[in-house]
Amino acid sequence: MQYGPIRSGSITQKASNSDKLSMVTLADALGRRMTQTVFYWWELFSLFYLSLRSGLINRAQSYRTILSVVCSQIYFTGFQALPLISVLAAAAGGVVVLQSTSQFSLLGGGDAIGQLMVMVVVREIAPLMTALIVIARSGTAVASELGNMKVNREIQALESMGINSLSFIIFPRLVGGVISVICLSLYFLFGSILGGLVVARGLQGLPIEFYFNSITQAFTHADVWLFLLKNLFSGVIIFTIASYQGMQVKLGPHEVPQVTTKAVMDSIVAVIVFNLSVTTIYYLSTLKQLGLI
Amino acid sequence: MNPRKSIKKIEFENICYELNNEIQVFKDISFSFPTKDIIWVKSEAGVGKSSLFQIVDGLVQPSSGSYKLNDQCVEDMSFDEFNNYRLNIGYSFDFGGMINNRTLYQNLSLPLEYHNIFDEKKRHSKVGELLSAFGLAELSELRPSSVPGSVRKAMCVARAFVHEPQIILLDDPTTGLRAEVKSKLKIIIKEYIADHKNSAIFIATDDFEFISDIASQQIVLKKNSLEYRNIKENAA
Repeated sequence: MQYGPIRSGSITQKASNSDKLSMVTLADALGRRMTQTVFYWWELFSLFYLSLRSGLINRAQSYRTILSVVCSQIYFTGFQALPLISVLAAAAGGVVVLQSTSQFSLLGGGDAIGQLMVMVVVREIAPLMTALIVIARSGTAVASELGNMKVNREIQALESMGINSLSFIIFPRLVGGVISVICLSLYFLFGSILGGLVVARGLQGLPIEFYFNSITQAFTHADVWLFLLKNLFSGVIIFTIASYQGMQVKLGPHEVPQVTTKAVMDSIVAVIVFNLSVTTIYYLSTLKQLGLI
Repeated sequence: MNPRKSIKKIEFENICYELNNEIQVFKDISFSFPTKDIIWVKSEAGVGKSSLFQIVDGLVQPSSGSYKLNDQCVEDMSFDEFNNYRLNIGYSFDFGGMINNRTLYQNLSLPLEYHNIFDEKKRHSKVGELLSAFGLAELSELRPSSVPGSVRKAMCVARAFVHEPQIILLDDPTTGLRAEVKSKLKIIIKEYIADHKNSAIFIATDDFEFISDIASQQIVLKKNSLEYRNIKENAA
């Protein structure tokens, strides 16, 4: 009996053909996936641009009409999320201060507490945590609301009345959502500073003045811009994806949970990738300024 | 306020339409629609009455061919350009179509307020008039989810009339309506046509008892064709 690789010409020929075929199939699948992703992001950008344009230049639509929807969006996305944000912000600030002071006291770098709060909370945690909370609460709500409106033919009804759904439905949600994300993130920031203060004063016995001085000295203009940039774009990403997915419902109610899940998944990935990219670019530019690269 | 454009001609030229790019509904249909009086759109179930109305109202675009209003191709118009015609079209859906976060009154007044049609006093009286005509004045402050299906259907039909359009498309308007509301609707349709001489009401229905004594013309929708019949002339 012969062991080892089979040497039969016809079988090796078949194997090599199937290898080629699987490579082609793989390349084909990869190419198709790439094209779909590019197309998807192009459609998201188009939706954002068109809703912004129609919202700003639609002469038929009064600002009062938009304002009422913007206000209710801020109420649902911003105001109703305050209790959850308060708890998470206080906990995040407290943990950062607790960990940093306990570690720094061993290394003798207690003064760096403000620096660390700004680096961790302002630049990273506040924008990311706020975005994740908004995705979970409001991204899902907007996607399912629009999906149900499509199923109930409300979007079609609006169009048949000559009302542009981009300016009447999507634009106010986008504006309200972005304002809410920025305000919530700011609230998160203050909450975490207060949470940190409680820990710093209560557990570590640090003077209040020292704590606040340390944080205010660590703040730079770049932090403010970074904070605004991250929150502004996170808001745009979350509400554009949620609106787009909601509008994709075509056949019936069974599609609503599907698009809602997709909106959440896509938003989380997009927000994390965006935040990571901004942080990387920021640190690379800082290193370049310092002449280290 | 958008200037409404009068609709003198509604034409299909070699229209093909596929539902969700899968099911062929129309194939190569050319037809010039009447623009006056009450027209009964008749067909077997699933042949495409709703699709026909949706194309006329610009809610869906044909897969190929051209849909023309006053010799202007609708596919080439922007949303705002088509709105000038659309404000002269009223459309009642076969199901759904009520805005759920607004009351019945707000549902009726929405197109009037949004497009600033009529002054505030006339708006209020017009909405009140329609609510009373359908016997729904007492329910006007309720939302669609709080009222029975028959009321939602009646409101959807009423909304097609509220801005006094030139063309009204009623898709299965009597399904689910109570008998007295049906007879009220018949009167409303007759009065509307009597008051608005240049208007046309297209009614897609299988309710022969409802349509037989009000329609003067008939369009029979078949898989690949539309046939026009003048019922009154034939009867005479």
